[in-house]
Amino acid sequence: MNSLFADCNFNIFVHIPIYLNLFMEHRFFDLNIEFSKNWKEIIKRAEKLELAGICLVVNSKENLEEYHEIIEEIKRNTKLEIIKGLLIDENKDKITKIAKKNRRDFELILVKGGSYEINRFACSSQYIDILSNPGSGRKDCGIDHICCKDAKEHEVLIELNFREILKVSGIDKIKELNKMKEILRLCKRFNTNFIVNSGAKDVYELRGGRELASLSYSLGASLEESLFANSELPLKLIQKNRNKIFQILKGVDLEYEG
Amino acid sequence: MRDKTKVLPPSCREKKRYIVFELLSDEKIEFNELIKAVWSSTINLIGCLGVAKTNFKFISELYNNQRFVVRCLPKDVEFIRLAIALITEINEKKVCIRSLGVTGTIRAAKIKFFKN
Repeated sequence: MNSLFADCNFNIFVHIPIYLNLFMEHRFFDLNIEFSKNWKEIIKRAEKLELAGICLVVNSKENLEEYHEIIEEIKRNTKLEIIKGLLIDENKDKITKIAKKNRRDFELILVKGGSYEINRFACSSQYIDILSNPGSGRKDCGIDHICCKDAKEHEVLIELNFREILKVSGIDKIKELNKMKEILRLCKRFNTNFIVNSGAKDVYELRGGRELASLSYSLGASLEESLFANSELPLKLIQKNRNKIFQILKGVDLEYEG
Repeated sequence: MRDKTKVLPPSCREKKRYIVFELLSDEKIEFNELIKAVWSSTINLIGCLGVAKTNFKFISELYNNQRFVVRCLPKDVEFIRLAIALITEINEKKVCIRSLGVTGTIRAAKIKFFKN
């Protein structure tokens, strides 16, 4: 057997696990879907698109108690993994305050980017999980090498929003794709984690996991990276945050509940 | 804090190439018409995603009556050259566009092709 592959530079046995990883079934997640009144339709469509889990994101300015009640009701009626998410669309000063206050109630905390000040602050905050849409309303991509390094250190994901391409056309679409390409290039360069979310506000803006992954693949990420970004990475993030929520004190876990 | 991102260090920046073109036409072509024609021609040939990947930009500061400059990535120079060469008509005025050369900086393009 060894003599068979003795002259061969490509060692098949080393590469088999990598290729198997590409063809195995992935559980895809979409971590930015706006919570609205037509949530029943959204759940149905997400089930049809074979998503493993979705994050229904509520804006911090809205009524949060009502949101929690509805989410509990949804969880009882569906097989989908429903994740609670809070989107903070505020000034730099209020972000930490709101994030600290709601950290134990929400599994994910997202910050809406756009301004460089907010993008930089979100990347260097330990309370934030995802920086959503850093390049919205800007000419450049909204992040630089400093943001990327900070995001890597504080385990913040940088989001590429699929909806941004859907709502524009012509030259604007090209500019938007170019921004995303730049974000992806910087993320790859500094080993920062990124994620592609649909950012859907309507049923027809929802997309399947494989379709979301194809965006990052076509902008320069490898197939493995793009699949990882939409399947395993969100799963790890959610598990980490759920463990933190159920922690009594820092470093103390509840092992048995009688 | 200013709203602009910090300038990337030179090792992190992408390389650029500037292609200088000359417009040959009997009639006067307006700047806006030219920009529209260049964009639509490149989108037609290489598509939205292709153009987005080339970092394509029309350098409006260097527009002279007959000459103009576009920016792209080094590997995509030939695609852009072909796409712009395919323009035959701008607003029902017949034109022919030829490339004069490729430079690495705007300064070099100015010195070589915009002396007057």
